[in-house]
Amino acid sequence: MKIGFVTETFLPRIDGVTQTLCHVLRHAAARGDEAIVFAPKGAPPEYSGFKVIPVTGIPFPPYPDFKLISPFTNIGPRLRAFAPDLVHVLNPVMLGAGAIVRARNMGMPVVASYHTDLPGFAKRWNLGAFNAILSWYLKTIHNLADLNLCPSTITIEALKKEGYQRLQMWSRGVDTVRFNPEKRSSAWRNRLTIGHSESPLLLYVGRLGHEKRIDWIKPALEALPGARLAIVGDGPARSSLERMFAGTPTSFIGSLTGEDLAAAYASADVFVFAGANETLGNVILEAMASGLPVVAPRSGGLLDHVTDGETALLFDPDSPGSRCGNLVARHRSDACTSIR
Amino acid sequence: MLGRTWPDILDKLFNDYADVIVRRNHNPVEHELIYRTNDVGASTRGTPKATWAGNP
Repeated sequence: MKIGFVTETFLPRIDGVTQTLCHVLRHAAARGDEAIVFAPKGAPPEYSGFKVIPVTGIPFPPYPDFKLISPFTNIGPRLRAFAPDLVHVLNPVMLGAGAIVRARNMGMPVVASYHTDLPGFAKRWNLGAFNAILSWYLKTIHNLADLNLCPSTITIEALKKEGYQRLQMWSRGVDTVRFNPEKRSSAWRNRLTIGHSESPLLLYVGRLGHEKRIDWIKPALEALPGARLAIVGDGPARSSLERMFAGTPTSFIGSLTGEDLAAAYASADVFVFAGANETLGNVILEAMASGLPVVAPRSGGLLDHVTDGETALLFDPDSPGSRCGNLVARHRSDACTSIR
Repeated sequence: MLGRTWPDILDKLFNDYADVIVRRNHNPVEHELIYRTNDVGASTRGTPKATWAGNP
């Protein structure tokens, strides 16, 4: 099979879309398929033996590592020369939207996958009319595809109500060999706690962006006297978060990958997450595979994977009265003594 | 739900790819009708379109 992939985010930026595409490309290589990837300039020239075609964009001011790429970028000749059996467009917004139209016009079957709840972010940030326009635009783009893949049942239901068509579940996996409680390491626990390895350790892993609402984790930390917090990841909100968490027992570890990341997960006690617009939540899966209970909002795709009161404590994503700090405070005896 | 691993999920994805290709190959007219029902890309209508069967 020959597959053309089009993505608006790829390495070196690491996010859910990039991780998913890397899995798909490795799998395609293992199957002996052929592939080509159209990705923002700055990506490696090839991945898993497949050529990556760089596409020029301009940095999106709030997130400079995310590139805005015109939907009118003409990838048609390269796509036609490759002659794929199918084109898979991941998270189409700009470049992806243009790619769907071009692939259609060349008679190529098109699969689109929905990864990011942009209208949800717009709504949460009170962007009013823009939210309605964005919702209509994304629906229109996706409805040009032969198949629309969604990562969670809650996302499928939401998109169905909005009028998206040809929806199908595309769940995600977790590498249980890599992410495993057996990766727990006293050296990593020491590093994450800065030498206070006896203290209960909360862990956040993910992009340090404002949309992740990492500031909401601070009350959870304060509700657990003696507990520490390790924040793994990087992003545009890092400096403001470092200021906000100054004076608290919080360590900013930076980005981790591979075995280091697996050891960090397994060496913590509780995974805390506050982002309310996740269509899946890869980090939740990785944390759970590493043996961690989860504190997270009752919202988004993670609801496919957690059971409130059993594998997770869920809080109302919109109600200040039940933010994760209060939740953890109510459960702190359990959280401190029986979580591991 | 945990324990769902990538290889099975990716096998299913590639099966879905194959289904889409087969459906498109067998029913190009039906697919064009679906597109037109949903089409708002009027600016592309003037572009010559290859049917799947005739696609170079």
